[in-house]
Amino acid sequence: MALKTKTTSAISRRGFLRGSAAATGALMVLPRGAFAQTEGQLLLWLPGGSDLFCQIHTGLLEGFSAGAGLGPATTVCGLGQDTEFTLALIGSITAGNPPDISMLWDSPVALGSQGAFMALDEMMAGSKISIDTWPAGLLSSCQFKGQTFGLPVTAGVYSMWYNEEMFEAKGISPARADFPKTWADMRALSKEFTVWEGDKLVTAGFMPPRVPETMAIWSALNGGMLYDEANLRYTIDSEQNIEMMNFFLDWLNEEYKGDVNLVDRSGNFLDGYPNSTTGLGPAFREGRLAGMQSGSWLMGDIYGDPVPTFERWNLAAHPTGPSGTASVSGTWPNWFVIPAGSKNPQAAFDYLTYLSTEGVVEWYQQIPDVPTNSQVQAKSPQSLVDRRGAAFADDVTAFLAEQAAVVTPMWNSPVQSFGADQVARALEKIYTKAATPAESLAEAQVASQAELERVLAG
Amino acid sequence: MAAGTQIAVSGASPSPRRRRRAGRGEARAGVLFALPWMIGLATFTIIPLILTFYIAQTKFQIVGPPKYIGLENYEAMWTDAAFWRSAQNTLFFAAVSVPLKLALALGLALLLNRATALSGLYRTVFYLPFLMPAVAGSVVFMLLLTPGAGPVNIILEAFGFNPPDWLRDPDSALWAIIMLSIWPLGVETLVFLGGLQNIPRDVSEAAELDSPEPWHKLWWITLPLITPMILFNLVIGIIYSFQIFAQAIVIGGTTGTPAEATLMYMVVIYRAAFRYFNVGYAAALATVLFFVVLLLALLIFRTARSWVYYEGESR
Amino acid sequence: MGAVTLTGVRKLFGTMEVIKGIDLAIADRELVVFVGPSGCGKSTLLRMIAGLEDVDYGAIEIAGRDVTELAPALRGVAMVFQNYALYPHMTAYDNMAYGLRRAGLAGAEVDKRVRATAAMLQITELLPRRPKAMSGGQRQRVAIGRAIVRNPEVFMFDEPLSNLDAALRVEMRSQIARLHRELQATMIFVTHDQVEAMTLADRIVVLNGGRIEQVGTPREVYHRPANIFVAGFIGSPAMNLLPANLHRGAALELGWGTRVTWTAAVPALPDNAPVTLGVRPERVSLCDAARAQASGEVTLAEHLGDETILHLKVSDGVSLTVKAGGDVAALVGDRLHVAFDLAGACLFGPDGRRIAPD
Repeated sequence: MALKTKTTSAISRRGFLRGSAAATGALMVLPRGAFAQTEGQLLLWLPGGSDLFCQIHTGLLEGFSAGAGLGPATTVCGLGQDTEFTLALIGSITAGNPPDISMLWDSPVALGSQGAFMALDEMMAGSKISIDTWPAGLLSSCQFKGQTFGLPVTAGVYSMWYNEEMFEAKGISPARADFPKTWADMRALSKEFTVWEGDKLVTAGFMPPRVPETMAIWSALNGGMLYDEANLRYTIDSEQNIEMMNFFLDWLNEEYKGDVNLVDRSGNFLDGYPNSTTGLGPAFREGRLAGMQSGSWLMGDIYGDPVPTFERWNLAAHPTGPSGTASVSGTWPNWFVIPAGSKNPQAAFDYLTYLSTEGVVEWYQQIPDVPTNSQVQAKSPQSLVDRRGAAFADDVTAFLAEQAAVVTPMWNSPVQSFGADQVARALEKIYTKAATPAESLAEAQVASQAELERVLAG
Repeated sequence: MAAGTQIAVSGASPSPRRRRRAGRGEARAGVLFALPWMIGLATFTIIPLILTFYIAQTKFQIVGPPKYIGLENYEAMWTDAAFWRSAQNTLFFAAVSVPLKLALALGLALLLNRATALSGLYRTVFYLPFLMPAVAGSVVFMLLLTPGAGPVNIILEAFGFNPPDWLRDPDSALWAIIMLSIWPLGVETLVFLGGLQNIPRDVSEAAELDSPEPWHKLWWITLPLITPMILFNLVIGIIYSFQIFAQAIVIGGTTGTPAEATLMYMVVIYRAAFRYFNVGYAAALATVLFFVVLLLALLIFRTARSWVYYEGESR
Repeated sequence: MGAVTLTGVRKLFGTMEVIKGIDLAIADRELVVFVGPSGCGKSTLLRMIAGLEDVDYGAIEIAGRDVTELAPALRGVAMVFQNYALYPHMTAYDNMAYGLRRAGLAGAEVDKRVRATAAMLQITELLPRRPKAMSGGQRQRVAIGRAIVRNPEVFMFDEPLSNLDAALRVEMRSQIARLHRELQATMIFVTHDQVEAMTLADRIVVLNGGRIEQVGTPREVYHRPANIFVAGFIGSPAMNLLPANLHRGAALELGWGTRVTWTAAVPALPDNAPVTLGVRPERVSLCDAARAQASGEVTLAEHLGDETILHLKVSDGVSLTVKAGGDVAALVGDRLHVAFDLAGACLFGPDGRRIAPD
């Protein structure tokens, strides 16, 4: 999860910046090696990432191939940076000449359920990583009707980030154990920090959540869910979810003048990166936001980017909602799939096994995407050790491993993107007060359920 | 056919059969020369078009075999709020942006047509935005329009205006996209400029001698003489405006924020096909768009007979 | 009425002065022809009067009004262009009616005037046609109609006949002359064709290099050219300009040594002053060797039927044009003898100005 673009806005804009015809074009301009699929030689596609990210994966695959007695392997890096990665991948699958392995930044369920990727269950049964070494909530992002279409090899793990320096300045304990345990506590604490100057929000405590990708986590924190995998039903307008949105809206009204636009004009209070629409800097890193929810990928960027930042941040578990019972976490995984039509499915699966259990150690050390398989003994990211010391880095690594174990199921709908857009639309309506939470969620529910049923109808 | 005729004349017996055979040989060569383009047209335009019509009648989740479902996709459109909303947005966009863009491009062309020392430079400068990728241009616009920090609103506020929060206010977001799409008007301007420079100087001077009002000349002489360029820009402009995509998806994402004000028809097609993997529905949407645009173009061409003046004709 | 007065008019294109100070008074109802070699500024000057070119210095008055800063349409002028300049998208009728309509005339009045003008020019049957469907001559008549219908004070013609074939040109020339008589309007006519100039003009303005060389009636500029330029430019074939030296006592020593007697009065000049003798080709006649004032070899003989134009090489650098009768059968290479009739000859001083006759 080396790319920060994944978190930058309320709408999943990543990848959609390219024209719709790009995929066809991309298929024409791809290097010959991208298709030259040969038995005994592995071919891997990556959707993007930095040069370092590419280097790591190229090295891991080459090392594995040499060790396994396979022919020279090929890694195609950054395909998605110039085109629509998913389209190129679908094109290659349709043409019967896909890579042996592909990394995905979108859930494999939608395409896997249509037969684009191989089900891994049989191979998994005979492998050294049994299925129960994966957190169930995470694995469900690859599963449909009992079949597993990919592996969430690493993941950005969501947790609460907070600014210890701001906490101390207010005389509040910065200890992780003392972080608010409920939404009500978090809301009460938030008020301590929030300062308006006219219509400009100068500093704030915490924000009512409104990033669409993370709503499944907040719903789970209130004892609900957006999509009920077991019963193949959307539950967007459940009582817990309506209660949740009413709570957030009430909070916005009380503390933030009831106006998300005023908040957004004052800075980026949603995540840890400059906002791609307004260009405004991240309030958290500017010391203007005491705490927020973020994925673990921010660890790799917080000291590195040319954005002003403070030194001492820490992580804590999500607080629970009024109807919630236990804290949960969520992830944005790096999925790996074996496309249908791979010429080397067993070798590809062996590589995924190797990558999930051994390769990820090196990966996490250099780029802090959290290994998800429970067998992995992760070593803390070097950049974090250098900056904050081994003790803090190991503590964070252990904390993230704990969080990865309590991941709530998400990314698991066969109409994932459709549902996500419906949730995004409902959130917009709720927060701009175009409709009440009950109305908006009901509308999203009806549309998503209809689309789900249409697809499932076969 | 000149060669064919020559052979017939110079040959010993100018039989019609020989002439015809020579003509047929030439025709064959002509077809051979045109063949690469005919194959290209068939492969990249006609076959995909027919395939689109077919896929529009199937359920096709991008992988696996399409399943024939008749007109279900078209029926689904009828009850799809996004279809109606995006059609409404797109029609509004086309109705405003095309005339506005044409008027601005024409004004610019009229200015550029006055010979000045720097007109070559201006011509280049106004053409440059066209070369900028729409995505990059959109990002720049978003930054320019940021309330509080973007220069547009800072300037407007300095003059005492109360500018909107362009990209978050549902009433202004579509206008921001309209502005953004009008900005690269270099091509339209060049087309108009070509037309203006084609007007003989003495005709223009005769008009100046006939009336002292510049707008008389513009309305009665200049505009009628560049009606072919107006027609061209109008048809191309309408076709392109119905396909507005990059600017809309960069600003509004796949949900057309704010409040679906920027949800354009092409975005709905795009997300249906490549985000929701509902390719059959996307094909049905595309088919409707195809026929709407075709119909509009035919309608314009039909009316064009009465308002477009072509130099070649001697009516 | 339609008098045109130019005072100190100058025009610059960048740093190049193309009109170098023109003073000219054109009388009401006069037909004046601007003539001169290409690039002499005759068209520019016309366009300045029409208002199509700015005047950089000086003033232009039309009918007593200073129009220097006035828009073309407000000057009371109409112009006929070399390329007709008809509005291609309009019928002949609309072309003629356009100016009247824009001036706000009622439809009935417009119709009356257009039809009257068309009848006068015999172009009524062309009215429903567009320019593309007309011949060059028809277009030019419509263009003239468009000028006439507006009833201007001054008509301008910018080489209007140069795109027409020879026969049509003659016809149109006489039509313009007839129009001038009928309309009783001031006309300014630009041409490089001196036959047009001579046949049409009340007065000819000879321009060269942005200056006026001479203003005069066709007879004046032909018989009494103000200087060597006018002498050489007006008349076809051109006047013979022969180098000579004027001796006190009225003897003229020609370039090749022959002496002739000059009887007309000349201003005082130093003895042996270099002058130029101007003799029209028709004033040079063939003669026998005994009376010869010049002899030379025929380099070109143009047999035109009723006359023969002979070009003789008299000496190095001096050649002579002779207009002889149509019956002369001289051939290239023949040696001929000629004599001059000095009665109609001109003498030009060292500065190129005519010194005799005065």
